[in-house]
Amino acid sequence: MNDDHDVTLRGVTKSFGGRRAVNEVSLDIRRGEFFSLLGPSGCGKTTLMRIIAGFESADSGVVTLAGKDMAGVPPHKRDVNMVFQNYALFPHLSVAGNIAFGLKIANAPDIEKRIAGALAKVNLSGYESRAVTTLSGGEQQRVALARAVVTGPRVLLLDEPLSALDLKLRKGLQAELRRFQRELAMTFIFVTHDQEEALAMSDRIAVMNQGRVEQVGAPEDIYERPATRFAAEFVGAGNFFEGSGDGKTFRTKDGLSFDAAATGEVVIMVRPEKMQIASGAGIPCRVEEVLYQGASRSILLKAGDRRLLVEDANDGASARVRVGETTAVSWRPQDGLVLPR
Amino acid sequence: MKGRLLALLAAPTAWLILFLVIPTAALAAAAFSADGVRALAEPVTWLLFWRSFRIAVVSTGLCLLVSYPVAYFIAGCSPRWRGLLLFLIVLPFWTNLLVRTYALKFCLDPLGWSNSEAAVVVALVQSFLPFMILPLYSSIEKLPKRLLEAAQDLGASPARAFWTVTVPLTMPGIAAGCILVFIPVLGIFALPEFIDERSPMIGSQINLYFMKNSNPGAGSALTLILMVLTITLTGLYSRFKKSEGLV
Repeated sequence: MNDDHDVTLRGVTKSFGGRRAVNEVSLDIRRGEFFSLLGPSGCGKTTLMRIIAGFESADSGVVTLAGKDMAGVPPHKRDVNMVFQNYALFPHLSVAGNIAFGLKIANAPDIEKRIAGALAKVNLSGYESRAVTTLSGGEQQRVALARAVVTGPRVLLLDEPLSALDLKLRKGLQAELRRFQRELAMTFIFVTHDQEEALAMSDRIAVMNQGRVEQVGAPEDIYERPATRFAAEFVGAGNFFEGSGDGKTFRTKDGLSFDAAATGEVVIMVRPEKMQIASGAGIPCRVEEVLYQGASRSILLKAGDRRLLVEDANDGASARVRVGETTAVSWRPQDGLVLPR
Repeated sequence: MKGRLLALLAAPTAWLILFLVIPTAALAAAAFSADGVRALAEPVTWLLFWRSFRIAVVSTGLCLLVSYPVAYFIAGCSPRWRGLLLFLIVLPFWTNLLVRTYALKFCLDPLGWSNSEAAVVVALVQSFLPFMILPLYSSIEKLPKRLLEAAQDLGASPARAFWTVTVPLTMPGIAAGCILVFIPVLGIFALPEFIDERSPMIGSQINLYFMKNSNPGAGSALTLILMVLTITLTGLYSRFKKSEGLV
């Protein structure tokens, strides 16, 4: 196996009661990378993470950590730490007691100094003697993070660590967590169902659906060049056209036609922000609804029986459209992404 | 409004005065009689207190040792099995304690096991097991599995996770179970003599003073000491519960 890979998975499969929660997953996670497992709930991302941590064992397939096969290695002997969804802090221990837990087991020297150092890194200096039950959600999250990284594991697993926090706190912590990961240069495997969060934070993302990995790539790859219809639908919004093309013109089943370099029976997807509204050329349509959102406007159009969504940047360049108006929508042919049916 | 509240409280207050305050006062008065003071000067009294204390400590400890794995196992079962197993734990209560003790004696006799302090302890442990298992079960069942996973994730072996996470977090159950076994065992009578006539405990002595020797003064003095011990222990327990901030 490659030395640059901290975690490799080959054909990992796990079933619960006949249902395949994780199905033939193969991944290579690089050293020091911020890697996200993204998917809807029940897609197998948490199970996959628990297999890496050792809390579940795969029915078949191989998991290696730093080149070593992890088959039969119990969780406490894996050089992997986890930040649990609800933090799982020990309520009978203080903040310092929680952080010292792993250090004491490892018989680490200078425990007090290392606790102070870990707390400083998560901006909680001076919190040593606090009871964890008195901390706010954001503070508990930081303590969980400090507890997990203080022993210097090879890989850190994070199970939706931000999902229990309110939106504003979450946004702030995203940037902080990313900075933290860069400073530590530690491999982070981040489980989330929030596509915006995954796009904003990750070096690479694996999009998961029904136990399978649909696509692995950098955030830009996933968004700009989705490999499957599921990846395109789950990450960002899109307008989907099913039909067939001859290499020049694409005809949809409901009778629309536009320029596209697609051949055969495929799906073409256009992101809402790549569409322009201008009377004249393009697909004729009627404005159904305009939702003002400050930085942009979401415009719902109806072309025949089909609904289209257009995201119009509030940059003063485009003319304002009114509900009920008849207009036309168009896009550059290269913005029509071709997906398999 | 206030009048109605007082009317509501009248019956229970009268009940408590009639059946708790007056008897306790009478008991205390009898305890400080000449008979009572003489009983306290007898070495056999303190021997019996010591024996009772020793038997109560050993039985409580054994009860805890036996009950913890049982409670742990039940808490890990599926809800259907849990219900059934808990039912089986409580089932012996449907039979009278004396009947159960007779049955146990019939089992111990052929083994040549009865008529010893050890047999008394065995009988006490089996009688009081449910009082230990139930509080332990309820506190183990409440323990989030995540915390054990977190401990293992941080490098703790299952044994270490048990001692550093499970035991401290189930301390309220351990304390409750110990109190529920220790206090009744300390004052128990009848059961020990059934198993071994030569191993009476303090409760038997109190019974003897009141029923056979008609020496209520001595009986009251011993009862009062037992009550003070019990109240002190319960007080310590409730303070401990408060400082833990759990349950």
